[in-house]
Amino acid sequence: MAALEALRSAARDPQPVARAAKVSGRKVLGYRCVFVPEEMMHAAGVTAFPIFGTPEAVSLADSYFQPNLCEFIRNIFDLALKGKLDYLDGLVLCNTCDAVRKLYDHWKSYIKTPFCHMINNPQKQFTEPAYEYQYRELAEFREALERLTGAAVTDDALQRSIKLHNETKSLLRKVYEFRKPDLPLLSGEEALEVVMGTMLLPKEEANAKLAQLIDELGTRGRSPLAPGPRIMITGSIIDNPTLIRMVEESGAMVVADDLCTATRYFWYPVKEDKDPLAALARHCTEKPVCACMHPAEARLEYMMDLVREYRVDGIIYFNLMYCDPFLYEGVLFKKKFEERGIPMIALETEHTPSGLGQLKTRVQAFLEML
Amino acid sequence: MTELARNTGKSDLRTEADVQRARKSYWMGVREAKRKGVPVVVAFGLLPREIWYAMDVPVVGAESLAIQVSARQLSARYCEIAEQRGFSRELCAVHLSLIGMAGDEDRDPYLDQVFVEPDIIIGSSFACMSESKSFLYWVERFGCPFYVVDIPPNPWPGGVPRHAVEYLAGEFRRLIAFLETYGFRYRESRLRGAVQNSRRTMELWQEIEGYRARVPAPISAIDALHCIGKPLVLSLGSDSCLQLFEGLRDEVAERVRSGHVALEDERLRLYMVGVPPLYRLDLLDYPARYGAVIVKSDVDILGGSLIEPRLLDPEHPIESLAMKQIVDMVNPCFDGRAESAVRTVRDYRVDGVIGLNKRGCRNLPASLRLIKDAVYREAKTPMTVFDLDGIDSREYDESQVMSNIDSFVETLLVAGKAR
Ligand code: SF4
Ligand code: SF4
Repeated sequence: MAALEALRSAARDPQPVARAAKVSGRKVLGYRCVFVPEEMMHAAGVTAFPIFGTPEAVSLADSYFQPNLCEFIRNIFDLALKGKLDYLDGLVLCNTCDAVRKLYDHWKSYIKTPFCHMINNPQKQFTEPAYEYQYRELAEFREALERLTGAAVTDDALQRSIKLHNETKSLLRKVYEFRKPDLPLLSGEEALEVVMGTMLLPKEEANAKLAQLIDELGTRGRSPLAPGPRIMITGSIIDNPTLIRMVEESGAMVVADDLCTATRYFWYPVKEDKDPLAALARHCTEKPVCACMHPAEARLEYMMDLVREYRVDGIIYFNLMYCDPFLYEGVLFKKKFEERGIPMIALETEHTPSGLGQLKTRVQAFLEML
Repeated sequence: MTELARNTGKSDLRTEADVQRARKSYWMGVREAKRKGVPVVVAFGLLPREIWYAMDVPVVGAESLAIQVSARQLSARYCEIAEQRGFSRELCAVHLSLIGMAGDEDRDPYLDQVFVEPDIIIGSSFACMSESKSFLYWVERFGCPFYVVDIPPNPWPGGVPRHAVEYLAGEFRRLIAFLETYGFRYRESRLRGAVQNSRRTMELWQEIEGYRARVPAPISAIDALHCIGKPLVLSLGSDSCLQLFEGLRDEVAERVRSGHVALEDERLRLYMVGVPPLYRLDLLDYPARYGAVIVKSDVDILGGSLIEPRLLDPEHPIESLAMKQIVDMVNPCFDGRAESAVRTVRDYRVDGVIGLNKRGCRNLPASLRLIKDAVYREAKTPMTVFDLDGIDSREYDESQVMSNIDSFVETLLVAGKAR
């Protein structure tokens, strides 16, 4: 399982990937999150580096942000203040939650990389005006990248990037097929690290690894999991496998997920259109993957599709503390899932879950009930 | 130090009585509309009141309801109801209390008197995730038709681009079309009039602020809450709001002429950033014991911030309202928030800034450090920051709050800031 190990180890230690890109002379832009088109950065000859948090305790950032702001964002800002993201030439964010917007404000004022851009995407999807507005925002982003690199981001280059990234998405979908059998051939913990590793690696390299992984899984033969209820994990960002491992150690088979570091990243391909900017704008305004966006019903339907496709018995909704979009959505959706016969449990956790014991007891009780 | 200095929390401006009358008549109008079968709208996110006024829509502003309930020390009760329904205590108390109010079958007598069930709900993404999400609970609870207005934040360093104004103007047009399907009539001429009224209100507000900047201050932060913040929240753009501002401008001008001041022997001038305890407004008078007056506070902008009047062009009413909403100081990512704090400190000759960190709010509290650094860097003015939830009184610790103010004011005095 060499490809599996390679992807997982990239996920566990992201920094060498960014530093390697830096050494190659390319500009490296950190970004968050799924509404920032990596394709555009790739076409601009820039390395798109998805910033994840670390288990390290927040210290310096505490004098900039109140403690009741999303710890994931405080963690990222803390890393930046400590110089641990000094390989970044800039940051690209998009209009999602309050914490991300505040990261943008603070980054501009205190980190001062040569580049800091926010794609001010609409928060209402599936409307023509939202699409037109998104198109303008992406055009501005393209111009900003051109100013940074001094080179044009051509439609041709953009089309090639879209193709390459679609290939990644399609390969990830194939990898996820291995989660569908009665006894999945890929665990939830592994799946998370595979996607995170893929997000981090240059896509040419990631695609080769994913193709190899598909072969490896095809001959794996035995499930890494013991039989148990089929669980989908959703909620705020999970950028470390501890929680999913705990759920699987409690007797579940995590067969599906709806996470920024998993399906939300790859579920929808970009249409390969003759106007690539239009295709990206459509893509951003038509993937109902984020709790910050409206309408909520579209997102619910996307989640229900996952539930059906992966034959999910129950949902575990992990709310990062102070993560407002998911704190609201969790309560509203619990009722909707239960009306559709899918039990759900919501658990509030810290970014680096320290008190796993209590969570584990609740997870076990939930699994027993299924 | 455990008791309050003046213990009023009230304004002694004559205009306050006029504001009370206008508010009463506004709320009676909403109830009357409901009685007559006109659909009542509950709107989230400080959308342009000019549109409601121009279309004669009876609107309950969700935030107004939360403020009123907090002022009567009832927020905790409704927050608890929301928490029992599974919402996290870590969410904003404005919205927890709104969720609690929607869910409560057994309303307390005050809420029972003012609560009007919505027939239509208008949500918006302005200016935080709580605003953008909590209304969905109301939609569930009351099963009403709803419309969401998407309001872009303002991260553009070089000024708001055209496409953003056009997008939001389009959102407002679609809102109007949505309301028309429920029988409300849109007359562009009436909206132009409302925007003209708003523009004039902004001019009067600028004049009033000119007077407020004088030393000693002619009115206090409490006066401003009652006579500026409240009418703006309810009815900016209406004839009645304009008249209130005319009256207020005249009254403040008269005070200045006659030498009437908010506090005799004013020695220190303070600026309060964040929501003060609406359930203990008399706290705003507390620094008076030191000869300190809060000359400016964020309660002024409960109904939106003061913008350049010329941005409101009655010939392009919808685009003007779109621009007004995007440049509002409360809109996230606006560099102007810190710049405006620096300007306030300079213009009002502020000696110290008090920043309030409201639990559950991820918007302003996460900008307090930026503001603190900016006012110190640009105006050499110190700022203190402490926790205080201005809506939910459950964790309000008066002696702690007073001791925070005591030590800050004493530091200012030691630093020789007193006049
Ligand atoms: S975890 Fe929640 S609050 Fe944090 S960045 Fe993601 S959506 Fe925002
Ligand atoms: S206090 Fe903060 S979180 Fe609450 S409504 Fe206002 S901006 Fe939103």
